[in-house]
Amino acid sequence: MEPDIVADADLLRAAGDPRAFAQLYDRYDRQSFQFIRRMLGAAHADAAEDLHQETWMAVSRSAAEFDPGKASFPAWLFTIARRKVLDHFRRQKVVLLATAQEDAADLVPDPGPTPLEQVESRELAQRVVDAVEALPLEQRGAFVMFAHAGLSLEEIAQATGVAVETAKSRLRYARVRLRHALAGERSAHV
Amino acid sequence: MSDNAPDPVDKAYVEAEAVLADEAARAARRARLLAAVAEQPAALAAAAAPVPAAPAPPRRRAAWGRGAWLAAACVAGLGLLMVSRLYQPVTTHPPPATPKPAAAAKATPETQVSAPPATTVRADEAPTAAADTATSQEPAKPSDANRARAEAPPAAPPVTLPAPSPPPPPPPADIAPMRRAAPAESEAGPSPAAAPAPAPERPPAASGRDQTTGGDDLARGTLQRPASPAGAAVANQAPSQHPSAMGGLADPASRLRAAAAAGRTTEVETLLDHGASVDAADADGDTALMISIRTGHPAVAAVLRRHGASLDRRNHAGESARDLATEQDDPRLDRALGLGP
Repeated sequence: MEPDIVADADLLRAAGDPRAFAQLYDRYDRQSFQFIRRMLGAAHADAAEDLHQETWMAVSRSAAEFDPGKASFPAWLFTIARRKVLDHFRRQKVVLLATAQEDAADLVPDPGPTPLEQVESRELAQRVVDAVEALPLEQRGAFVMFAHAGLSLEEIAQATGVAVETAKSRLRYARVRLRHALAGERSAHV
Repeated sequence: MSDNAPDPVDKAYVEAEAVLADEAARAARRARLLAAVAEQPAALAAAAAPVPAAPAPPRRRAAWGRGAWLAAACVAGLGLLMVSRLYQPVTTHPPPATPKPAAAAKATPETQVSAPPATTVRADEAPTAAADTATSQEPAKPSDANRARAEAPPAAPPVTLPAPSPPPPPPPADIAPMRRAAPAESEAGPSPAAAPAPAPERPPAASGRDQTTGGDDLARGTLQRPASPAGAAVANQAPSQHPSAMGGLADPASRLRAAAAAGRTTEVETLLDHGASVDAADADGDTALMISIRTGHPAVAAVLRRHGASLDRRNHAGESARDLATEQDDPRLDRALGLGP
């Protein structure tokens, strides 16, 4: 993602101006909501609206804490969003698989590019999204942040509190898994 | 293929999201969020001029209700119970000192009759430093043997104190130091005498990993993951550095956060009593109090607050414990934190 970091920070600090906040919200609304929604998966989809609102309320409440010198606004935003999701899982007593185990379990051959040039039908789109939601949690987060929200690997690493190489691995594993999952979609739908 | 390069899978996913996008729901979500943000103008104002967090609404500062006092009484009772458990075992060992008849004869009659035997022993200059420690720590808890010796001769003339019976065998040299060293075990080396100290109820298996990850496992929700070999190695090394009441696992602050996350009130209290830093934060800046609030453990939060945990310290996401409590909107939690009636 190549956002205007200064502009984001300026919008965030435009205190008392609802329009500035709305403008900032409009920039990242879709990405942040879809990130939360995909991280939650189908089983917890009902919580997406609330967590999304909690995320942005936290953004507005903690605006003074944001330091553009330390992280980009998207990295900060997705840090908060990810934590909201994890907090939700804790409250729901959801036991997550270990990240390292998830990553290590993915040492499978890459089938190569998936010839899935167009996702036009709603049914096929749903299958793609289902495949994304079937990814291990941290791989899913890295993939959605990169592919949909446009965060860089460095920003993903910041948002998830891991090294850049770890973020890179998660993204790579996520893609391999998705290629496996979607390998048969073209013959069936394209 | 480079990880930064576009990937067909990425494109497929973006297209899928576009196909499934629900603009009506998005518009509704936007309106709801902006309305909610507009209702908290103070927060937006704070963004322009950073100031300390605004005080909580007045209703949260109302006097404590009956439930809060009951909770406080329960916590106090728990503390007393723990103290009694911590100090009980040592009373089974007799003081090593041998009273000297000559010195005893110099004491006044009142002292000989009414003073506890342990005091008499102290006046007679116990021969070892260990004995000094024991008597100064436990002046009101003499051994049964000494108590019997001191109380047996009340009818005898005070000046003619009966000759002391043969001195009991001296206790192991490490008994007395054990009592004093227990609270400061982190600086002390391993001591077998410290082993009887009450261990936490359920030492978390993940603590070894917490040490290596700065507690970030909490944020990842992987607390129940089996310890890795590396983590096990760390856990195996830990007892040599942190014996006794810390449960033999390193990094009390990580253990404190793990105990807070699991709602283990007794372990939290024990760790705090043994010097764990109440406001130590993990890699995300979360303190034990924040974690206890998130995980819905008001009793743990109350203990942490009683030990001075900060409500206003902020994590890396800019959230304070007060913010998190407000989000939870749980009257029990508010009472535990002293924020509600």
